[in-house]
Amino acid sequence: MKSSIVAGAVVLCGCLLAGPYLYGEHPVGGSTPAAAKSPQTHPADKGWGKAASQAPDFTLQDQDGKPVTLSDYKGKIVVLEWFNGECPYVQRHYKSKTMQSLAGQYRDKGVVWLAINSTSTADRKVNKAWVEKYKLDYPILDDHTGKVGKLYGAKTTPHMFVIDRDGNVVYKGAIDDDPSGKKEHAANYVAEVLQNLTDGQSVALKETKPYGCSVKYPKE
Amino acid sequence: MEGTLRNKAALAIFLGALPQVLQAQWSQPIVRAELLADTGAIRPGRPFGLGVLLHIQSGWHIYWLNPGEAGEATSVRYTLPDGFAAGAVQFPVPERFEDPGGIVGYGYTDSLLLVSEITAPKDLAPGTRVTLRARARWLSCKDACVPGEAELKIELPVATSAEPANAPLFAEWRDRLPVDADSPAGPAKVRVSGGIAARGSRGRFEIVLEWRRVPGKVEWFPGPQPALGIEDVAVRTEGTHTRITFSARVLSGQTLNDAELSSVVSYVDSQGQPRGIEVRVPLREGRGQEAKGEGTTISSQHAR
Repeated sequence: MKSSIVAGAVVLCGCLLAGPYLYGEHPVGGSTPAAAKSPQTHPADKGWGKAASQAPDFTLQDQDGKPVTLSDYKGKIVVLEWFNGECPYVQRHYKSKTMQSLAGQYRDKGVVWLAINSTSTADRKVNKAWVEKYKLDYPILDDHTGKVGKLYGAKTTPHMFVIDRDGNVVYKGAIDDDPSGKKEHAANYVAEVLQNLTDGQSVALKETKPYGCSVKYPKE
Repeated sequence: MEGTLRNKAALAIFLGALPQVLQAQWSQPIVRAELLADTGAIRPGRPFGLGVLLHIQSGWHIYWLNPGEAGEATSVRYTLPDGFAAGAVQFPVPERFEDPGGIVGYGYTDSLLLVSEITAPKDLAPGTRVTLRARARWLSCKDACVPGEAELKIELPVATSAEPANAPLFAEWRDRLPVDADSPAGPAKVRVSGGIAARGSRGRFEIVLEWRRVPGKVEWFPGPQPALGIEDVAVRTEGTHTRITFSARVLSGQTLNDAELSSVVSYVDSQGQPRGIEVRVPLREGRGQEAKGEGTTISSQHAR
């Protein structure tokens, strides 16, 4: 894990020297690695960011307090899963291992899975308890201020975003076509996108209406 | 020291499980359901109304056919004896609420009666009794969300004549069903325009209402439409004139199969009662006109 982040940072520095910085709207050629990794979110963010095709960059702390920066994973397929352990839809999926199996299945193909908790009353300890309870192989990132949730327009838990190797959002929406969890065989939209991406197919943006509890942003 | 820590842990677990504890321990359900009929007896071959009455605890809400940006629609499924059939569930005019962060939801607080028309077979024997069953499911939310369901039943006698039952309740909720936009005695004249170009993926729309009387609190509710993102909704009322504008965008990778978007305009009448108008919006450009009735109505959800 650590060595790949170092390798990523080296590649990142190379990219900065070489040309435009693809993630977010950082000034071309003028950013240093330190500035690029600042915890500041997207400079153009005025509340609800409209994720065009490029996934906005962010840095959030995982359940161990370690900072995780999206742009560190440039060149990899990344799945963002909006999470809230108090939401019955999330609980149902974790009990039936929807997220864990999909993350595990594609980890070997280099897919990075990041769960993000934008619940205003949650914190690192809450996230750590969940990671330990379900023995997760991926982190839950602390976004209790809701900044990154609003940047992406996350409305529900779960709300899924899949980012391709070039940093484009290629899927946003529901995890599957079964909000009430009653189908014999639910069609998992994220699995479908990951299959196409790892098969080397170029994938056009697909959106579905997400389902779940509303993301519990802070009261204004 | 250890005792205090254990107490703190116990308190933390208790608080974490609070929604479930509220449901289980104090027998104060967040949503309480009952199955009622609008008749004291079933007459062979005659329709009657069954209604699921939901009592919702203060501060909580459940959802409309289109729950909005989160949540899940309330549903009712009937299990009836041979020869009986249940019509679509009729949804009263919803309320609009907004969660922190601007997440919009459509639904109900306090109470809700969901009525379906039931047809009875002709060959029922007067003097016998019939048991009718319903399963209601909902998602109730406040700060947290708790799903719920209830298995309900009602037993009714079969007779050649019958008295109405629960008449004031059924009448009150019938008044909250949206009326068709071109009802001649309707509360407003409705005009719809706009559309998505034939090969386009987004468009602007406008609904204009001229009311007979100044309405209170006008809101607009788009019906369920999985292929569309509805954005930039504005509702402006001045005197007896309301102008509703919105954008609709076909979600990337989705196909728009429907010719119309169903919607409901809600208002408060001169008696302070919530009421509604069902407005169908043709989606493709060049089809905007006086709102015409066609297709399935938004107030109904077909029995499954």
